[in-house]
Amino acid sequence: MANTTKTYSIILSNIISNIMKKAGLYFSILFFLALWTYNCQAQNPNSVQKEYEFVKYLLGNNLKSDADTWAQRDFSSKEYSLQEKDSLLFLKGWVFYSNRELNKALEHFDSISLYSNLYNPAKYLSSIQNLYLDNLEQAKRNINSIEDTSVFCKELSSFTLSGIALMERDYNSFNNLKKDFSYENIYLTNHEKALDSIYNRISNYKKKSPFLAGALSAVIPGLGKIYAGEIGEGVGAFLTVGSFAAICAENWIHHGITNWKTIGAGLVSTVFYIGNIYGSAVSVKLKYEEFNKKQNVEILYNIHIPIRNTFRP
Amino acid sequence: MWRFYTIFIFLSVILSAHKVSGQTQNGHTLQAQKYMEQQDYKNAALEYEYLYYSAKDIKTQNLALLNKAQAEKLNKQYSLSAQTLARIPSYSLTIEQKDSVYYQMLLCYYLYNDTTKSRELLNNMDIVVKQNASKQLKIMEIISLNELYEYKQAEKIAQTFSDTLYNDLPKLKSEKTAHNLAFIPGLGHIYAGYTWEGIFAFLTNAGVLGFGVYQALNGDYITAYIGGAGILSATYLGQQRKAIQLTKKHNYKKTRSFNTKVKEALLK
Repeated sequence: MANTTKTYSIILSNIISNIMKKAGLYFSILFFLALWTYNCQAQNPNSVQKEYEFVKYLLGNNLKSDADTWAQRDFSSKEYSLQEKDSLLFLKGWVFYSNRELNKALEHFDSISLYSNLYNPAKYLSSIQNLYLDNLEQAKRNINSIEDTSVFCKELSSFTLSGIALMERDYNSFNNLKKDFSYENIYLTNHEKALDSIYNRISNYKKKSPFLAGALSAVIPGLGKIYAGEIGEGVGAFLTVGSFAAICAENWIHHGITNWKTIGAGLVSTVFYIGNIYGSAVSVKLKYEEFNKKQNVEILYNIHIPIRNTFRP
Repeated sequence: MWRFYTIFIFLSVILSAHKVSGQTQNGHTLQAQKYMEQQDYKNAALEYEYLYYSAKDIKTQNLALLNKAQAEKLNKQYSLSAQTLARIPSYSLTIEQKDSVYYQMLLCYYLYNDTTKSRELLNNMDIVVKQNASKQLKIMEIISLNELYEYKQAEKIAQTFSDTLYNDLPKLKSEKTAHNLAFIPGLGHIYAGYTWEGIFAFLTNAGVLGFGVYQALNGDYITAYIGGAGILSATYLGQQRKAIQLTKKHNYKKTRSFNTKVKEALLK
C-alpha cells in the first residue's frame, strides 16, 4: 500500500515537473500578472479601505476641515460595490456628524442599505441626529426598526428609548424600559445611573406657580422674583420701585399731587411696579423652561456617548 | 531555468510595486497641482494632507505640509495654515528652511491677528535663524513686534534697514492718568484728546449735581438723595470709565497709524 502511494506521488511530481518546465515561461508571466493586479488593488488610491483609513486619520488628528472637504467629494462616478458604497456613506455621515452638520449626517446614515452590516449602527446614529434636531418620534422609529437581538443591542435600544421617554417626560415608559438596564455593561453603566439620577431630579422638581409669583410681587415688589429664585433681581426691583415711590411720596407731601415731580416719579414707580409683577410671573415660567432644557441636554448627552463610542469607525 | 524564472518573478513584483507606489504619489501630487491651478484650495489642501499621510520620508512630508499651508493661506484660512506649518518638525529643517517657515507663520499670525501666538514664536525662534534672518523674516519680525507694542526690540531689528524709522514713535497716553484726571468730570476725556465729549460730560454731571443740591436746599431730601446723588453716581463713574476707554481708543489709533507707516516703509 505504501509502495503504491509512493509510486503515484513520483508519477504525479514528474508530470507536474514536466508541465512546469514546458509552461514555465507562461506560468511566470501569469504569476506576475496576478501579483501585479493584486498590487494595483492594494495601491489603488481610491480603494474604500484606503479612504476609510485616511478619514480615520483625519478625524483622529482633529483635521476637521480636511475631513469636511473629503466628505463633500462626489464618489458617485466611481464603480463601487454596494458594500463599499455603504461604507463610504457611513464614513461621510460620521464626518458630517463630527462636524455638527446634522442634516447632512442624517441624509447619509439614512441612505445605507438594509442588508448592510452598517445598517444598525447607522440607525442608532441617525436617531442621535434626529434627537439633536428635535425629531423625537423619528428617533424612536429608528431605534424600533433595529432587529438586532444581541444582548448588548437590546440593552442599548432600551436605554436609548428610555432616554427619549425621559425627554418626553413619559415616566411610565421610562420605568418599563429601565427594567432592561443591567448596570453591568462597560459602555452603559455610568449612563444608566445618570439617567436614573436625572429621572429622580425631574420627578422631584417642585413646579412653582406664576400666579403666586405675580401676587407676591404685587404685595412686596421683588418678592415674586425671589420666590422664582432670582434673588438679585428681586432686591433690585424692590429698590427701584421703592426709590421712585419714596420720591413720589415726598413730593406729594411737600408740593401736592399735581406737582410734576410727584406725577413723574409716580408714573415711573407704577410702570416699574406693574412690570415687576409681570416679570415675576414670566421668571417662574422661564426658570422652569431653563430647568427642563438643562435636563434634556444632559439626557441627550448620556444617550449620545454610548452610541458614539460603540459605533465609532 | 527555474532560477531564472524565480529571479524574473521576484524582480518584476518588486519593480511593479515600487512603480505603482510612485504612481500613487505622483497621482496625488498632480491632482493637488491641478486643484491649485483651479483655485480649489480646499481640495488641494486635502491632497497635500494625503501626500503627507502616505509619505515614506520626512522630506516628502515637510514638502507636503509646506504646500498644504500655502493652499490654506491662499484660501484665507490663516489660522489653519499656521497650524499646518507648526506641524513641521523643526529638527528636520535647514536654517534657510526654518527662516522661511518662521516667516510664513508670523505672516499668518499677523493676518489673523493672533498676537499671543506671535509673541510665543518670537520668543522661541531658533537663535541661529534669528541672528542670520533673511530680509523678509526681519520685516515680519518688526511688523509683529510693532503689533505687540515692543517698539524697542523692533527698532533694534529695523536699524538694519533704516535709522530714522523709529524717530517718530507714537506718544501713548496713560490710562491711569486719564482715570485720575476724571476726578473732575470731563477732564479725562480732554486729556485723551476728546474735548467736546469732555465738555458734555462735565455739563451732564454738573447738571445732575445742581439738581440734587437744589432739591436738598428745598428740603426734598429723598429726591435729592435718590434723584440727584443716585443719578450722579452713575454718570460720575460712567464718565471715569469712558475716559479710560477713550484713552485706549486714542492709543490704538496712534499705534495703528505708526505701525502702518513702518509697514509701508519696509515693504517699499
